[in-house]
Amino acid sequence: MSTVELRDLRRTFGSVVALDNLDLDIRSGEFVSMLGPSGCGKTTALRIVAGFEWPDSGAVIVDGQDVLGQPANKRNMGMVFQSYSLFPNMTAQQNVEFGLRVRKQSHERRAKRASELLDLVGLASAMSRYPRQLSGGQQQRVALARSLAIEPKVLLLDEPLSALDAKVRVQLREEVRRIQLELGITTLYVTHDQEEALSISDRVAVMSAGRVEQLGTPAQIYSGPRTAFVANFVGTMNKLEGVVMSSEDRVVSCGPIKVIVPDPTFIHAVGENVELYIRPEDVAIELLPVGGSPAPGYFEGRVTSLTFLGPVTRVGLRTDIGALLADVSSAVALNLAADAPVAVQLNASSLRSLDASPESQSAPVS
Amino acid sequence: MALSEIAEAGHRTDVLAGTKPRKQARNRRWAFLGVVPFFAYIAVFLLIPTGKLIVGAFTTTTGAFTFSNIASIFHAPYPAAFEFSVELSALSALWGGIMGFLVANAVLHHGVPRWVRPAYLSFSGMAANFAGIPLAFAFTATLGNLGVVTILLKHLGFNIYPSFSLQGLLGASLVYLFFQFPLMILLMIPVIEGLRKEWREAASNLGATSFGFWRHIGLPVVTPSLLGLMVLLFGNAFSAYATAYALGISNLVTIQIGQFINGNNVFAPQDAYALAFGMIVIIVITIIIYTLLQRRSSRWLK
Ligand SMILES: Nc1ncnc2c1ncn2[C@@H]1O[C@H](COP(=O)(O)OP(=O)(O)O)[C@@H](O)[C@H]1O
Ligand SMILES: [Mg+2]
Repeated sequence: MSTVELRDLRRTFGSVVALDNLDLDIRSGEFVSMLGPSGCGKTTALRIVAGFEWPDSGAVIVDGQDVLGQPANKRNMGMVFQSYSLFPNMTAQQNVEFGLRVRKQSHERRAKRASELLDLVGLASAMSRYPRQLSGGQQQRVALARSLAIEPKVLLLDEPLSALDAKVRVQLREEVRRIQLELGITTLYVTHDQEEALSISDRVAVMSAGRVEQLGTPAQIYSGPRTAFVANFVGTMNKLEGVVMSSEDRVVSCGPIKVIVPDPTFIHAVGENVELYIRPEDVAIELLPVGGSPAPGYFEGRVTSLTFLGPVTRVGLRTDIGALLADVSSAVALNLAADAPVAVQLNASSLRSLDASPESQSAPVS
Repeated sequence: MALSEIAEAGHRTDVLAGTKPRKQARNRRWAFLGVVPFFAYIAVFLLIPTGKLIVGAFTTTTGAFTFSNIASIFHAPYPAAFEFSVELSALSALWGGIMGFLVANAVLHHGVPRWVRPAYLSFSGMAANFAGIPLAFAFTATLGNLGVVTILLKHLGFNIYPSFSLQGLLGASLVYLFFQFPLMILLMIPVIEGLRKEWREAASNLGATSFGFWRHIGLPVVTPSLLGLMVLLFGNAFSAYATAYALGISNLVTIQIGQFINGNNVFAPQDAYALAFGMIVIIVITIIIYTLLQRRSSRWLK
């Protein structure tokens, strides 16, 4: 097992800054995802690690050694591409054996290893099929087996599931994680799908404009986003605009309602305009009887939209403090209709204020 | 033949790139109307002449059935003409194919500046059509008996004549190469572009060198197209007439047939039909050989 450190990587393409002094440490046996919107530099970073791309400056350190001087075919890294990477003229088995064939291993050992790996990815029955005869999901399984065959130091995956159907995608991502845990292989996974990143990673590096915006466990990223970018990119956020009423008690007035910001580091002068954030699941609503008025702690709103998301329904609201989204159990949402009056309550302990501007946050790791 | 082969080569690139044929649902009933002119054209200018040619090859001037026309192409000078036609076509297809493949690869190398490609394509498009009198003249002026290169080499102590001549197999194939190899570049570029970047990178990632990639993936994948294009080059050379005529080569099948058309050979007009029929037979045999090779080399495409 290996450790990987990306040190101060910078890469520009003409005037485009693809990587802006990116730092990222991956511990031995850890599964780290780089999560970010298209164009934020994820692929560039991964390709630099693999040796298909070079940084203008910085270093890639594997097990304490800078590998930038080594060509891709000497780095012993397993790479899984987005799609169509299987050699079309070889069967699944021959594809998996390829790396071992290059390493001049004997026929028997190659065949044994290929069948073990195809077994591991659940494709033992398809070993003599050509890529054209495999579904997209099966092709990616073979690609995974192929990259693992060489017992790589590091496994690199660049949006390996993004070309697949939703169902297969979910199924396969769990298998990727199961296999990773089983082999204990250090893994760097690239995706733009937050759900995917949160569900299978030990840690997630949220990226924006060529740098890591926040690095943390999925729970830390989801419930403790440190910037507005992370908050908005991971999950959905409501934004409230308010004015600071009391600096000491952290009271903010958002239109007619007052809230107390729980974060003790929230220090702003009275009268300052601030932005507060709250997740839809932290906004509660209750149906208001006709002519009724909201109980203390609640304020009035009207339903503008209902989006069924399975167990929960996302309710769009028009309120005195602006448009809000609230997630309620779908059973409860059955009683709601467009324009229905509701009482709205914010779960005050979940309110947070965030830096709007990205800051450098490469958290040091042990 | 040329058209269908080009279409076929193009189709194969599609397969490599992983695209699927689109389904056509609407207006299926009347869709065939659009191709009627094409088939009419084919019928009038290809099927009818071919039919007449085949009938002519087996009938006497008075219209009776005979094998004597066919028998006559086994007598001098025709067998030698067939032999030289096949040799010249095969050699120029082989040279042109290999060189075109290598150059197309070089042009597409990622280290080559982008503007080189369109420039090369334009040049190739022009060169592929540079044939006939101007081409023959260009070579006569350079490598002919009194050509500048010939004389230059003579001054340097290399007397290439008389063992070399532009009418011989080597000389003529060199001239043919001039239009064969640009054509190969034009047709090979899309084939090489069909080799996905992911394949090269995956191979490298798994430890293979560039040579390893070509040996195990690149060459096996392009071989079916490469064979197809070499057959196309063969046909291209086999049916060439003007260049050979201008060079003064007489022992080619097309030149022999031309003599009948020009009225220079009035003794046995039916022999022209038999010769043309012989050409068709050779092309058919070539295509059969190609199909067999192709089937072996593209099992994975099925
Ligand atoms: N070879 C290249 N030439 C020019 N620009 C590039 C190249 N590769 C990447 N870029 C640019 O660098 C930025 C980051 O790209 P990329 O790493 O592919 O992002 P991501 O994988 O996160 O979508 C983008 O703006 C992209 O256009
Ligand atoms: Mg990408």
